[in-house]
This record gives sequence, structure tokens and C-alpha cells, in this order.
Amino acid sequence: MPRGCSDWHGARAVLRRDAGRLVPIPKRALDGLAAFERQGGLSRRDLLAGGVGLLVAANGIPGLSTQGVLEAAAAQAAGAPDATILVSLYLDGGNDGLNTLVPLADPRYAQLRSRIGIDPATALPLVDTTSFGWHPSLAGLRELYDAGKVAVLPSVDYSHPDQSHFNSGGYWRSGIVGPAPDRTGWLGRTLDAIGTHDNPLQGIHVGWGQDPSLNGRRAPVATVSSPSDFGFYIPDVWEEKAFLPTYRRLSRARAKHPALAAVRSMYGNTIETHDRLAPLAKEDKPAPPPLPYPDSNLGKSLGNLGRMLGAGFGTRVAVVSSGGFDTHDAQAQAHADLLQDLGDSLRAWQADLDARGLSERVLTMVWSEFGRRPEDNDSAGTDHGAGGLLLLVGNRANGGIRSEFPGLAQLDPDDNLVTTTDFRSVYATLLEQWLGVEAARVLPRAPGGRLPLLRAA
Amino acid sequence: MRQQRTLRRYALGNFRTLSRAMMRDGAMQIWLDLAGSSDEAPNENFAREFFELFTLGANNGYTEKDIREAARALTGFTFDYDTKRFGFDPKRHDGGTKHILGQRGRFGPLDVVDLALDNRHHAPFLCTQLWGYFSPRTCPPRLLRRLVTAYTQSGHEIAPVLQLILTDAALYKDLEEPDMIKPPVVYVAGMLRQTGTYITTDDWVWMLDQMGQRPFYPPNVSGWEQNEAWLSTSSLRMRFQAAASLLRDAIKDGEVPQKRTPEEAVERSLVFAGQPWTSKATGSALASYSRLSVAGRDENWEVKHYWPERERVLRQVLLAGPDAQVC
Repeated sequence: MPRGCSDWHGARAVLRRDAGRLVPIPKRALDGLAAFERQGGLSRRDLLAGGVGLLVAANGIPGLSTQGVLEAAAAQAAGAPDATILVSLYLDGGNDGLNTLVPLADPRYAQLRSRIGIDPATALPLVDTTSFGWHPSLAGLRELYDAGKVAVLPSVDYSHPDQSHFNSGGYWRSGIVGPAPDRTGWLGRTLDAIGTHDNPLQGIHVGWGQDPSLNGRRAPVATVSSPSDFGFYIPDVWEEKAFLPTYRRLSRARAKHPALAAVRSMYGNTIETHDRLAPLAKEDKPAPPPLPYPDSNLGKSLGNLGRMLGAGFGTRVAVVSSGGFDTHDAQAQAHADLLQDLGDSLRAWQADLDARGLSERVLTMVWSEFGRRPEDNDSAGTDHGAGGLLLLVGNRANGGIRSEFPGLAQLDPDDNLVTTTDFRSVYATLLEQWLGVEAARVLPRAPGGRLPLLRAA
Repeated sequence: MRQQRTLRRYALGNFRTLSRAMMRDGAMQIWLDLAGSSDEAPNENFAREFFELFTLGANNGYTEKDIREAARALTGFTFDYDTKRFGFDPKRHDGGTKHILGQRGRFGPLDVVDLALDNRHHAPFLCTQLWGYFSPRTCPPRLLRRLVTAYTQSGHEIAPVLQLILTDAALYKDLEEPDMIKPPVVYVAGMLRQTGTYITTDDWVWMLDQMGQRPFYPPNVSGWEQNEAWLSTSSLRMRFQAAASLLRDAIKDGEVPQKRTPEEAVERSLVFAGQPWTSKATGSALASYSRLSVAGRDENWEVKHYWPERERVLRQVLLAGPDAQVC
């Protein structure tokens, strides 16, 4: 990665200037690397990729252990001001990809969608192809696509796709198709590999319950709905410091059973999150975003996430979601409203990131647990299908249609869209080319191929 | 609410009766698209969840084909939006032959219940589910065999299974530390009961929602995921604030005499909180807090505020601390 190189040069320049104060990590420090890795730290490759420069300030930490040096380096890497960030935006319920990106050139579309098909005359054209049109509500997304900021994968799933929300959603979150060995999710394991052990805000779920894709073995993560509303108050107790030290002490105590251990550790994360969010909690009136977000859950979530990313908390991954995509009946209006919200939210999101100087560093992956059945049903809706639409949005996304659309002439044995792209190859590409971690360290059965999803800065 | 009554009425009764009643339950008929499913357009929603969630377990002894065939057998239910009445229209029922779970026949809705319940995968699935409600550990195979036998020999009675679970030594092993995480409703109800508080505000609804469990609004048809899935930084902060809301105006400034010892302060707080289980760590943290929080605060205004404040904090830790989250 070029970034690592330039950092290394910069660091050497500092070293030459301040030869007395800075020394490279002693060679023997690397001896402990294998042990540190076994404990879940960074790999050497990650350190280099993260642009740490392998330097530490030597005076002031003369007795720092090998592990201490590496942990400091790891923390620096995770919190590096230019670290990349991946945002997972989940469309809950199974988004109808065929009515989101409409295959205008496919003659079967109008037949299969005789009840709720999108009229080709109203679909919004794409700048570079006449094969597809956007749903008429997606003016916001179309603008981003035309600016080259949206990579589109029209049929992403896995082989023999399962049509249960729980199973398919679970596979996407864990990154493992079939029964998973534990509760961890692919983003949680990513943080286990590249994250720190003390910064919950390295992984943020904007919501109330922890998103399972963020479950890790060690790396703490935070669930925050609004950073302005994360205080601890007890009526008529004047200061937090009257009680938070006791809670901190309890959160560090050992427990015999996993249940109490989990509660204590999450209490520790909660208080740590609260402490780190303090600068935002104090803001009376956050600056308004350049483009107003829709007044929806998704709009609010992205607005709050923008504030947290803007504050530089060392976030590497984040999760937001939008619900209501399980459109079994009366789909037309409901889906139009959902897509309007999605397109407008994404447009406001990119403008917000631009204004914060973050748009080169943040990539947003929009996904759903499956697509919907090509043939619409008698209730003017669609049933669970396969082959969902996946979008990557951001300045560094490789804009355009980036994987094959299978067409509607031939469907799979369940009458669903044929899958052309395995979601794990999307993950593997993002892990290696965006987050800087070897895919095999996160995905136990990582597929071989990588996709052209990103372009150079 | 009617569904709640149905569940309560048959919870300790016969599972076959319960399954049949739930199939006719209005909320179920609507939510899983059973009402309106016809021979011309059978809806698979109920059939799938009936096998996956309620009777057999995910991918356990049935196939996609079984689901589609069962959906055919379950056609014919109707709902009239004007009169709000549920019904069954034989003309909309698919009377043809179906293949379900290895059997062949002109099956109807009640047959689907029987076929699932008589399947060999059903009894172990249900007994494991019932055990899992009481213990986070795997059910010992020896006990599971006894549960399955009791369940099948009684003709799908639930009570005998529960009796065996609740009287088995395995359930009471290793209990010096609680080992399950309280669901929000259990946490809040327990807190209200321990402190002798009544429900006087509907604020509990949004607080429970933010803890991850809005009553009667499960996230999906499989219900809430249990144990560690309840935990997030957001939900724990809400549990903390929910306890704090109970402490408003409980002790006023000036109400606590200066002569009250640290031990007395802790003891009184334990009584207030209903003598909950406390870990060693909590015991010693409270003892040292109780000593240090008022040390050197002897001015009149300090005694007036900080001595009651100490007990507010002690109560809060007992109601909302880590120990209070497990059972």
C-alpha cells in the first residue's frame, strides 16, 4: 500500500530530525510477535499495511515490554487519522433488487412483473448503460451513480440459497454459510484481527441491540443510537464520578460463569463508550449537515454516524439498517417510499462525508439477505427469492455495473434469480483491498476470486 | 391479547391442542399469511415457520418440498376485512394428494399438525427447547431421553416434561453464581417487585424497547434471541437509566443521619433492593464505596447532601449493577 510507504518516509524524516527522542522498535521486539498474534493482535503484515512505521517514542517508555510496544502500534494503526472505514447498510427483510435496479432490456421482466413491474418510461436512466433503469424514487442514488460513486452487483448470494430470513441473514452476518461455530460475525472478527482491545468505538452499530455481524471474540464494539444521548444519571447524585468508579471496578472483576463475565465486560464497554463520546455529548447544537437527511430512522442513523466518524474515534467498521423490505403484499407504494428514503439518505450521507473530509475514507456497502422472487404474487407483492442487489457507495467505489446480471430467461430450480456473485468474495475483496486484512483470517472458507470493486485514490 | 390468552391457557396442557389453537389464532393467521392462502396461490409462510420454529427445528427432518406440500394442505383459511371474521372455505382448499414428511394422502390443515408432531424429530426438538428456557447448558442426554419418553407416552402433554426438568438434579447443579442473563421484561418486573413499586407510567414501554424487548413486539416470528444477545452498550445503559428512574425522590437530602455507619448504609440498601444475590466483587466494592464516599464530608451542607447521595448510589448499584443482570 502506498500509504504505508509515505508514512514510513515521514516517520524517517522525523527520526532524522529528532534522533535523540525517537528510535525504531528494537529488533528483539519482533520476537514476541508470534505470541502476540496468537493472543489476537495484529499480524506483521497488518502492521505494515496499517502504515504504523514501526516507530515508538523511546523516552518516557523505557521499560515498555515487547507486547506493550506492539499494542501501542496496534492502537496507532487502528486510530490512524487516515484509516479506511467500512459501513454496512442492511436493508432488512429482503430488498426487491429487480424493482430497485430494473432490467429494462430483459424481455421477461414485463411478463414476470405483470402486477407490480416498473414502467420503463418512468425508470431513471443510467449514464453508461441502457440495460437497466433505477426505480423512479431513486433520484438520489442515480446522482451518485452518475458521478461514478456506486459499484453495482446485481445478483449476490451463495449457492443453494436459503429463503429463511434467519438463516440467510445469519450467514451474511457471520460470513459463514451453514451452521456457525460460534456467535461471532465477520466484522467482529475483522476487528479481532485489526482492532484494539480497549476502544469500543472502533466498531459502531447505530441502534439499540448489538448487531451480530459485530460480535467478536475479543474486540469490544459499541452500540449507540445517538451520541448526544449516552449519559449516566442518578437523580440527585451530583456527579458521575460519585458512581462511575464503582461501576468500572465491578466491570473488571472476574466471574465464574460466562453470563456474568459477559455482563461485566459489556458494562466496561458501555462506560468506556460513554467516556469517549463525551466531546459529542457536550455539543449543544451539532452543525447541520450540508444536505438535510430524511426524517427517517435511516436518515437519523446516518446523521448520528456522521457525527461520530467526524469526531475521529478510530472507527473502522459501522452498521446501520433500514427496515420494512419484506414486501409480500401491496409492495408498490411501500417499496417506493423505502427506496426514496434510501436514495435521499445516501445522497445526504455522501455530502456529509464530503463536508467532513471523510469521503475518500468511507465506503458504504448496501445489502440485503436475499432478493425477491422474479414473478410477483397475487397479493401485489413478491415472495422470498435469491440473488440480491448489492451496492458499494463512496468516492473510492469503482462506479458502474461490476458483476454479471444473470437475466430472467433462465431461473434457478426454485424459480429465483440465478446467483452470479458469492457474497463472501465481496467480503474478501473489501477485507484485503479496503480494510487491509488477509481474508483468510476473517473468513474460514474464503473464496479465491477478488472483484473489481475499488479504484485507487 | 387473545393470542396471549391462548398461549397461557394451553401452556401447561397438550401441545397438539396448543398447535391447533395457534393455527386458528387470528394474529397467527394474519402474521404468517395463513388467512387468504388458497389452492390457486398457496402461501408457504406458516408452513415454513411451523416446521422450522415451532415443531421440528431448522433443517431438521424436512425439505423445501415438504414446506410447499404442507402449504397446499393448509389452504382454505379466510379473513373478511369488513366483518373481521376468520373462516375456512372448502372451495379455496386444495383437496388433492400431497406428500408431506414421507407420508402421502389428501391432507388438510389438522393433518399437518399431526404429521409434524408424530415425526421422530419433533419430541427431542421440543424437549430441548423447554430445557433451554431454564438452563444455558446442554440438556444431559440421559435426561433428554426421559423427557422425550414422558412427552410421547403422555400424548404430547407439556406439564410432565416441565415437572421432570424442574425436579432434575442437573438443573440445580453449579448454582452458586447465576448463569443466565435476564431478559429486559424479567429485569424490570423483578426490579419493580423487589422494590415494591407499582407500574404508574407507560415510560416502561419505551425503556423496554430500548433495552431490546418491547412487550408483544418480538423482532420476528422466532421471538427474541436470549442471553448474550440481550447485551449491548446501548441496552445496558438503558437498564442503568431504568433503575435510576425508580430512585427519583426515594431519599431526600437531610434524611440520613450522620451517625449511620457504612455497614448500616449497605444493609439498608440491600433491604430496599429486596436482598438480591450479590457477588463477592460487589460486596467489597459497595463496602469500600460506602466508607470512602462520605469520608471527610463533615460540614453541615455536606452531611445533608452526601450522606443521602451515598445511599442513592448504593441502591442504584444493587438495582442496575452487573449482578442485577443475571439470574
